[in-house]
Amino acid sequence: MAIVSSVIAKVRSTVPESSDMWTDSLIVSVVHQADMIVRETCEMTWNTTDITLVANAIYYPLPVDVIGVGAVQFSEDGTDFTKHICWPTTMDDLDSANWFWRKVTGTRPTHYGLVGAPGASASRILLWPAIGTADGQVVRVKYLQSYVNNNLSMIAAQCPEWIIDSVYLPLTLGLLYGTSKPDAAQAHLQRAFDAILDARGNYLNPANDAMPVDMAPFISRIGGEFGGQWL
Amino acid sequence: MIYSTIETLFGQMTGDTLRIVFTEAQRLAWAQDAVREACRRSGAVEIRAVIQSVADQQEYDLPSDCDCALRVTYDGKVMAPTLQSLLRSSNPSWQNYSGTPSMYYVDELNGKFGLYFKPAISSAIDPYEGEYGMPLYDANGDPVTGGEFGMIVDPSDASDITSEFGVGTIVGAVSDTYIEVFYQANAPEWGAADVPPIPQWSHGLILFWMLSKAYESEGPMQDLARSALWSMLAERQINRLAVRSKARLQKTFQRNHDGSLAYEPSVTDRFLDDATA
Repeated sequence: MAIVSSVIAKVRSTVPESSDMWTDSLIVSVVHQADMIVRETCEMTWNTTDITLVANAIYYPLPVDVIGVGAVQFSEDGTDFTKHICWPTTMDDLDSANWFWRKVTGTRPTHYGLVGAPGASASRILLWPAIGTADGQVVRVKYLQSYVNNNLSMIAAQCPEWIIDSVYLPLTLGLLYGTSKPDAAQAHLQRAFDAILDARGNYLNPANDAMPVDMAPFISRIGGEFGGQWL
Repeated sequence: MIYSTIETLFGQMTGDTLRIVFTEAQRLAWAQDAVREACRRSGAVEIRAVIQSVADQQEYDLPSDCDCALRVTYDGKVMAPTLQSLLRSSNPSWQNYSGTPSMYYVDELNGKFGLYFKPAISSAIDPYEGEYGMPLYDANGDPVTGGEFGMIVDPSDASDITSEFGVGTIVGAVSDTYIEVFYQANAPEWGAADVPPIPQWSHGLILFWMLSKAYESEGPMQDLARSALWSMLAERQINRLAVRSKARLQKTFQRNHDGSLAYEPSVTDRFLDDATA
């Protein structure tokens, strides 16, 4: 179910006098704010970006709609990404292994790290080792996506209706009432934040259709069958 | 999202679309406060600065937005941190020596960092020009592929944007003996026409902070209950940013593509596996 249009309709039916208080345009803008909160907490949407490698380069920018990096895969020619993955690491780990790691080159990166939290313009992904010769090698970064702009993609975004009812609607009402009725806003917000963790479970369940099939091995709840840990 | 989008929504939510109660300057100041607080508490903004080394120059200015230097490298090698007091106690004439730097110290009072030894040589500088997203070519028309200066991957890489199409000039080091400073940044300078420099998914905290300050301020719209509500939301978002910043990498890796349990090689193993020095 489309999030934006559903929330507008539900706001209008829940609050009969809403037409006198809030325009559709304002509600859409507030839904966008709510969407960024929900999408970050529930980890709803995965996307990919391809980075063409440059000889001797270690640091590359990431898109600004990145919340977090899930996996990094390598391809010799930009077509087959199933053979090689990069392991997460930090500069401290690399420094402790070899002080000259920055000068090392190879045929493909085997590790990745992050300089700064992703999503800021100054943040970078570190791919090590740098390749010695650029020949069309590509790295694919799978990342949690946020709709940072109030655009057509955000307008068209969908999610199950129960999440709209339990999270999006009260969160939107809480933000709308925040400038007029703080008590009512507080009640709506509390409802939304109580339900948001339940919604998160929907997206972190590897058996759920909402989970991209090829991402299932990379993420799971703490202590789950697939092991591993995400935050 | 660009600041003007946040500011427009602020006006719509407070009803002050004409900026009569809250001026533009007030709004921008609150927004900058929000970003400053978020950067300080989350450590989300880390920057890599490249500084040209100069022969026999001991000290260099830290970038103006540096809050905490995390590591310093010279010629691609990470240097060990030290203190001027330790250097003085080991050798009173420590400032007279030049060679290949192996240690660095930070003089926070004066916003500088220093190298020991002083570099014996300067890193060479050649200017390059190129268009955003395209490889660079030098004055001879030859492609430049050295290190990170081989392509303007982001307009921020260009030291000087010379046209609206993103053609820029990059100062690139021919030799490797430049200095890298990795630091946690205070909020970099930004203005009303810019995108606030924190991760964009967290830009909601700027709106919430602005609303909190607006309802807290003396005037006809003061309402401390509303201010407290928006302050709570801003705090929540700052805490989320701090969590995402401090736990930005996956802790462990799970399985191979075929579902078998993955072995996580040590970094040392990978050095032996693929690397050629």
